[in-house]
This record gives sequence, C-alpha cells and structure tokens, in this order.
Amino acid sequence: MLSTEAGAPRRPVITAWSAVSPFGLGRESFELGVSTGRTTAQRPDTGVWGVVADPVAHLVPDFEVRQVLGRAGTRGLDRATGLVVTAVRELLRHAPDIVDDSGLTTAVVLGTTAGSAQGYADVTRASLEGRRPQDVPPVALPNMAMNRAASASAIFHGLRGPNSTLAAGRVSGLLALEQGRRMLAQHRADRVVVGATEEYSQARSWLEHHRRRACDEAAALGEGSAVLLLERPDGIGAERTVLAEVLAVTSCVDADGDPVAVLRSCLSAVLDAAGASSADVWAAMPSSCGGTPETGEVRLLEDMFGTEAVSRPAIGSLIGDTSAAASVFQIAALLSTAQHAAVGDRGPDGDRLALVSAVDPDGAVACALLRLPSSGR
Amino acid sequence: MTSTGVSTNGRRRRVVVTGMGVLSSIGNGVGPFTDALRAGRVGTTDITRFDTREFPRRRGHQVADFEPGDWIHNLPLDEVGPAAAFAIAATRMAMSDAGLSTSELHKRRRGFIAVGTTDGGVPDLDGVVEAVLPGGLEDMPAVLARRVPASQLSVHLARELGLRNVEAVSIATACAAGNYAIGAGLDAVRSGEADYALVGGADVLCRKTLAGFTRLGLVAEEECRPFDAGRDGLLLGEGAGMLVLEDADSARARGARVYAEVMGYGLNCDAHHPVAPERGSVGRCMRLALDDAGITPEDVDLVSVHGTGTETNDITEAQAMHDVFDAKPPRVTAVKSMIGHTMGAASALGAVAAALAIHHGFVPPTANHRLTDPECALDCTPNRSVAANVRIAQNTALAFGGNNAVLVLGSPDGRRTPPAVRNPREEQLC
Repeated sequence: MLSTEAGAPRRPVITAWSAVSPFGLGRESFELGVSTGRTTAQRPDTGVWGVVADPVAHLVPDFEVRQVLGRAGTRGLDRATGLVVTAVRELLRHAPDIVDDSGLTTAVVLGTTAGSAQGYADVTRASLEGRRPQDVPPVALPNMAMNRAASASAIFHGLRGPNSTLAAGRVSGLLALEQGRRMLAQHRADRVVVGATEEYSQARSWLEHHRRRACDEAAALGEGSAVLLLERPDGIGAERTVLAEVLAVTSCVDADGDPVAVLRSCLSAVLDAAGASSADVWAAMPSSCGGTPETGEVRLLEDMFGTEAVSRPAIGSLIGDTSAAASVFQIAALLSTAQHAAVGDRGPDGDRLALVSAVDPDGAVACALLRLPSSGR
Repeated sequence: MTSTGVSTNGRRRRVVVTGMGVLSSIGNGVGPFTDALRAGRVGTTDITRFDTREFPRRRGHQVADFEPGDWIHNLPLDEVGPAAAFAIAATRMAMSDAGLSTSELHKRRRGFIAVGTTDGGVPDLDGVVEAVLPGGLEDMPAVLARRVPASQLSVHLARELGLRNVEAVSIATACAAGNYAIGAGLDAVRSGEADYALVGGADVLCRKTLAGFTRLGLVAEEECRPFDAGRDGLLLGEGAGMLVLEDADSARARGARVYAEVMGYGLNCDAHHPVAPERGSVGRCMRLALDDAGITPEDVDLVSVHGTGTETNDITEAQAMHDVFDAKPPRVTAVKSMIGHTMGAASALGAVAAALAIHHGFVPPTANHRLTDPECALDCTPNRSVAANVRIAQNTALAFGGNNAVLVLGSPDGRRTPPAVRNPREEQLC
C-alpha cells in the first residue's frame, strides 16, 4: 500500500504541459492522437529530406519553422530549436502569468542528443567544400552550440532563470525532470520548464541507422518536443491545478551490459523512495524504443506491475522513437491518458501512481514515479 | 540511490574539492598545470588535430602526449570518442589526486557525474562528414556515428569506472558548461543526495567550431590577450578539467587533502541575444552566486574571469564586475591567455586554477598582456603570477545564448580574508 499520505502534495508538481508532436501542434492534438490511437508513420519525402535510411518515420506535420513562429528572429533557426520554441509557446498558453512576470525565476531544462546533428554536419560540409574553410553560412552559427534550443526558448519567451541543456540519451527527459526538481529544492528557480527536443533529419536518420543493432530496425524514428511546467507545490500559479506530483526520480548506469537488471534495481529504489509498492502502480510506461532492451524492459514492467498497467498507453508505435524527447513524451502520454481514464479506473483514494522508465542503448537507465491526483483536471 | 527532494537531516552539507585532473596545452595533471600557471606559460601552437592549412588563422591550444589507451582500461577503445576519452583520463587523474580508488567509490552509497561540454561528439561528426565526401551521409563510418551522442561523455565515464549507482549526465551549456557541472555536483552533494561527485568539462578541437569562430571574426592571429587594448580575439583550445567533490565531513574523516570549498554558484539566462552577453544579466548572475555562497562582493579576493580576449566579451564582463564590486573589482586572472578557450572545459579549468590559487597562495597571471584596455580597467595580474592570500575566488563563465554560470570557491579553513591581510602591497611577485 502507498504509505505516503494522499492529499496535499509535498513534492514538486507538474501543472501544465504541451507538445509539438507527429500528431500536430499543442496539447489538444496530442491528447486526441493518443486517445484515438492514430499512428503517424509516413514515408519520408526524399524531395524534402534527401536520401534517408528509414522506410517510414513519424514527422511533425507541416512544420516549417518560419511559418509556425513567424519571421522575426527565426532566420536560420534549426528544426530542433523551432520545435521546442513552439512547444514552450503552447505551454505558456496554459500559464500566462509566467509570460507576464519578469521571468527571473523561471528556469528551462532541456534534454538533447547532440543538438542539431544536421546543422553541424552542414557547417562542416560547407567548410570542407567551400572556397575557404570559413565559408560557412553565418546565419547557422548561433545554432552551433547544443544549448541553442534552451537559450532560444528563453529569448523568445523572456525566461531569465537558470537555463540548462543536458544530454543523457533516451533518459534525458527524466534527468531533466530530476535537474528541475533539484533546482526547485535548492531555490534556484520558482518554476521550471522541463522538456526535450528531437528533430528528424537526414543526418539523424543515418546516425541512428548506424548506431542501431539489427534488431532495432523495426522502431521507426519520430520527432517532436514535449515540455512540462514543474512548480513547488506551495507556489502554483492561480490558474493552474496539480496534474501530477513527482514522487521520485532515480537513475543508474548499466556498467555490465545488463540493462534489465539495472532497471529492476532502479524501479525498486524509486518505489522505496516514494514509500510505494508495485501493487500501487496504476500505469507503467516503458521507453518507446525497439530492440532488446525494450523487450526485456516491457517484460520486467509487466512482471512487476501487471500487464494491465503496462498496456495503457503504447505511445512508441504512435509517434516513433523520439530519442532524447522520448521520456518527456511518455509523461505527456500518461497525463493525457489519466485525464481521459474512467472514474472507476482509479485507486481507492482516487489518486493513481504512474511510472515512467527509460533505457538508453549507451547504458543510461532511469525511472520516475508520479502521483496523478483525482482532483486534477 | 534515489532523490526525493528531502535533504539529509534538512541541513546543507559543506562541499569540498579533494582531487583535480587536468588536460591542457600547458600540462597534463594538476602538478604540471600548477607549475605552468605559476610560470605564466603559454601553450599556443599551430592546430594539427585536423587539417587547418587553409584556415587564415590556425593558432590554438592542443593537448599533447595523450594516449587514450593509457587511461581507458575497461571499454573498447573504438567505442570512446576523443572528448569522452579526455573526460575519463582527467577523472582518473582527479581520483588519484584525491587518493580515491574506483573500489572505494563503489563502496559509497550514491554518486553524481556531470561532464560539461560544448561539442561532445561533434569531432566524430566532423569525421563522418569528411569520410563521406563528396557523397551522401549514407556511407558514414559506423564506428564514428556511434560516438556522436553527447551523453557518452558522462555515461562512458561511469561505465569505464564501473560506477552503477550514479546519476550520470552530460551538460551541454556551451562555454559555461564546466561551471554548470560543478554547480550541479554541489547541489547533489550539498543536499545529501550524493556522497561524491565527479564533475567538470571536456572538449576536443574540431573543424566545425574553428570554422564558425573564424567566420564570426573572433579568432586571434597570434595570441589571446584578455583585457588588452590590442586584443584581437580568442584562440580555440581543447582540454579537460575534472574535480572530485565530497562533503567536508567525510573528506575530513578520511584525512583527505582539501583544495577548496565549493561555497556556492549562480545560474541565469540573459534571454537577450544569441551570441552577445548582456551586462546587467551577467552582474545579476554574479550576485546570485555570492548570495548562494553567503558572502558579499568585498569578500572576494580573486576572480577567475571568462576573459575570452574578444572585443565584446571583455568589456561586458569588466563592466558587470564594476557594477557588482562597486567600481572596485578584485584582482582577476584570465587563464584563457595561457590555455586557450577550451569550450566546455573552460570554466572547469578556470575553477581548477581558482582552487589552486586558494590552495597554494598565488594568483596565476593573464599572459600575453601589453596594455590594459581602459574600457576594461581591471588588474588582470599581467604576465607574472603573484603570491597572495586568496581566501575566496569567483569563477565566471558566460556562454552563447546568454547562459551564465558563476561559481564561488573558498579556503577550506575559514571563509573570509581579514581585511588586514588583503593588502596588495604585501604581496610579492613569484
């Protein structure tokens, strides 16, 4: 049984979220896509993307940065950055008070794989093929650091608190959540935009193709950006309610080539930290990637939490493998699903526990335990 | 192994630096690095890590005498990209310097790893692009493709050391990443969530970055001259700086040598311009750091500055210091004059220099200095190091995108310098 008292949350809370996903722009299109279970796979148009490795991919429809964000300040903006700047714009529709304040205490923590691999590759190619090695497009140069997406989000939306970018593969979203939680605990910010972004591109297509083991090929790539608003439970903006309380986040490293064993200890630890047992978990969300880690990962979650808990949202097959953004999309899918779940499909006190796990082929492993209160909308 | 947001006993632990590892153009290992800083040695050479013959300016700072196989014992060498190899080597140096073996770290409850970087695996992405020319990306070499994700700098480090119960994260906040990583480690240990932290930064020279900075007109012709009236830009460098952080009580209990206490840090974002820093915001970040450390500007004896030697940065940084320090900024040192701008490693190496200044009682110089720019108006400790009682040092980092990070280090045996001791005339050249 869950030993922590239900009722007023004491830990950081998620009070808003949004996404730019293969379902389209904004939270509503994501919720609709998840609830209808519509797949978004399409054949990449080689006229747009060039020759790519993927027979199908999950692309954000009609996403052209300057059409979506307008022409001011967007010249040369890379796609990964455009996706998250748009996602934060959509998020702030649910939190207008943040836009109105000076933004001094609103932090941004974003996960990335390696910024815009396509952008870097283009500059390197221009340097190698140009008349002079410095003949690279100046408009691309602000994109040449991996913090471009987070800092551009701050510039576009006036968010002047701590602004961090981290890389932890498919675990990035959960470690961004952890870093955001720590920033709140240490009073370095009053609220944190936690998220991640991943673009589809020819460079990513071939990099992932060559990184993947043969058995991973079934998992098509996806792209998009998902963002959450994390706040202290006692400092929530007037217009918002608690959508989820972040009970605990854990992470480990698989140093022995046995990610499932590491995940098992990670899951035990996250339950211990929250004073919860596996029977309390209403939904468990494995990382969406294909391949061996996922096979073992799903089986482990089913063993621990039951097939019903694991079967709830199957987002990977809907939006593809979004790499660094995957675990934020998992949280978004949980929040979306919980909101639409039947009233009877709840724990005894009306609150539900939800678990997100993430396993990266390079060895990072993490999970998070959330409480979804019955009073949340 | 899990954090819940509740710190140990509800109190803040003091966090200290007990070991440091360095790769730089002026020396590998903290001993040679200390000697070179004291001597004001400058490590400039022609960049040869990649073909720079067509570049108009090709001076820079490279790490010499580095063999990945000397440091990587457990992972297959071809899985480890050059920046990850730097991080592993500098961390092994730092652990040895701290008197900690991997088996001793295995016994500890929980660890934290953060490696700051600007480019991460981009040197290998450069290699991918070069390998496929003039063709398309489909024929890229898989061994390089696998090494592109920036996460590997921290995760490979954990795997190489066999550290399982760690939070391992790469922090990609460009040229301020080292300070971000050290600050993240401070929070993890200070709150009791981790017993130790391995933190710092690593970057390797690459074509993409030299091409970009050359195009922006920011690369110096011969030398980097921070705050000099004749400065003409930065010189790119590569390197790594990794620090072992522990809580002060357990460091004392095991009799560890303590270089400095990590007193606090501050982070903020200009939210102003993609590449140009903003004076007011930089100053605010300094105040955030001093507040976190519980000190006032008068307590600061030394600032290890960002000091890139570029026109805009140096003026903005100096102005922000005049704002914060009430027009009387303390003495500064700009180590980029000696080791170049090592990107994600830069503020980690700046922090190492600051800790050495506190521990050994000297201020590293700003090399290559001829005439201070009146618009900067700082005592930059030109060309020769000086002996000085440094009790508290600030380490400043600014990054593209307005990502500011300021760290405060202090002497482990007392936090403030008595005013009587803070007399520059009693300091001697060394």
